[in-house]
Amino acid sequence: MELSKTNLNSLSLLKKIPKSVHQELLSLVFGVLLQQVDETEIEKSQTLKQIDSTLLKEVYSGLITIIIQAIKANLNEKSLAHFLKDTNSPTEFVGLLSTAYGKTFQKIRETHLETTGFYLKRLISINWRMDYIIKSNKIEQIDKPVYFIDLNLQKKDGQIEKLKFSCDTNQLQDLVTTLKDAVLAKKTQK
Amino acid sequence: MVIIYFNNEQKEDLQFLQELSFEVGSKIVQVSIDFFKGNYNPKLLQNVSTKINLPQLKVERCVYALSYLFTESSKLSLSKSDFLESVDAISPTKEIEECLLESYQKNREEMRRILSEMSLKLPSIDSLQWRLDVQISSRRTSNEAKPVYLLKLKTSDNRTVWFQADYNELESMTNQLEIALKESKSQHYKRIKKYIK
Repeated sequence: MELSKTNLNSLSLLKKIPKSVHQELLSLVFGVLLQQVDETEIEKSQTLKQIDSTLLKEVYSGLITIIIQAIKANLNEKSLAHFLKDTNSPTEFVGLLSTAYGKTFQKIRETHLETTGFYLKRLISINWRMDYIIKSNKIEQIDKPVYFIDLNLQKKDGQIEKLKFSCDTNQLQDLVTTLKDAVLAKKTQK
Repeated sequence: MVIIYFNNEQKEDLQFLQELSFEVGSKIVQVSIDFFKGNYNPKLLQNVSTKINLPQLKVERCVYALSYLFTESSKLSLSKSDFLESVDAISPTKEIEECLLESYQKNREEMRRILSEMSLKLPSIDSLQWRLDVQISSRRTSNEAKPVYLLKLKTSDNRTVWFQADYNELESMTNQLEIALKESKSQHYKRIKKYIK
């Protein structure tokens, strides 16, 4: 995991912050990462007001970067603690950070993957049915065929979502033409 | 032969049509058609009721009854003779009868279209857009060339769904839909169509 010097430095700056404030700082950092807390809360916090604002900003940004990079690199609790031991950070804080990291790792990964990751639902299968409409309570003598199409899409976590829609013969014809073009595009590319 | 029956209330409401001049009658018919299409014009109604010296409520009820006539006749797609027979029940003047028939014939298709919009149906497909990409590498694999289709499906209830598909999946989807389309030209379908008619 690569971190800039300033980020690594920020952890050593923690020594300048009184221990009593560490827990509050950590909860705010993880709150922001889980998108439960807005960043403005940091300014509003009474306990954090006693800390010099530049110092606070450096430590805060350093912490956020380290945690996100660790999630990206898929580090578990122990590897993170191991990595942090090499930096010049207070041991008690490393313990607190790793524990909180271990607890929220999966959730942060999910919330961030959802917003910045790229996984679309995948088409698995298709079902269709053709009906002939005779009449309805509003209008009689309709006498038209209708198609019901059912697409099965699979989401990242394996859940299947069904997409249902109807179309008449013309719309189905258009759909088939569009799909045929798409299939042909790949054939010609090869 | 299908005829529309008016209940006693409606017959009462349409009574005074017998005594109206063509001019006023045609205006009322026009208001009924507009009412069905959703453009209710109360001012016109007011003018008409003051002209023939009748309370506005009475004219309104007449408009409702005429709308019922047009709705049912469009729904059942009445032929000219059936329509005239139904109208006979309220025995309007010859001119008003002709006016009713003309309005019916002129507006029938549009009224049927409005009725079918109001009918029960599933959201229908608006458009399908596709894009062919080549997946070069990802976190777990690198140096591959996998073709991937990106698809965007829009339905009439304003839903937009994005999904991706492999070439194989897309091809099987296309084949299935082609089979579905062929069904509409099959013998079985033609037979059913004939029998139902």
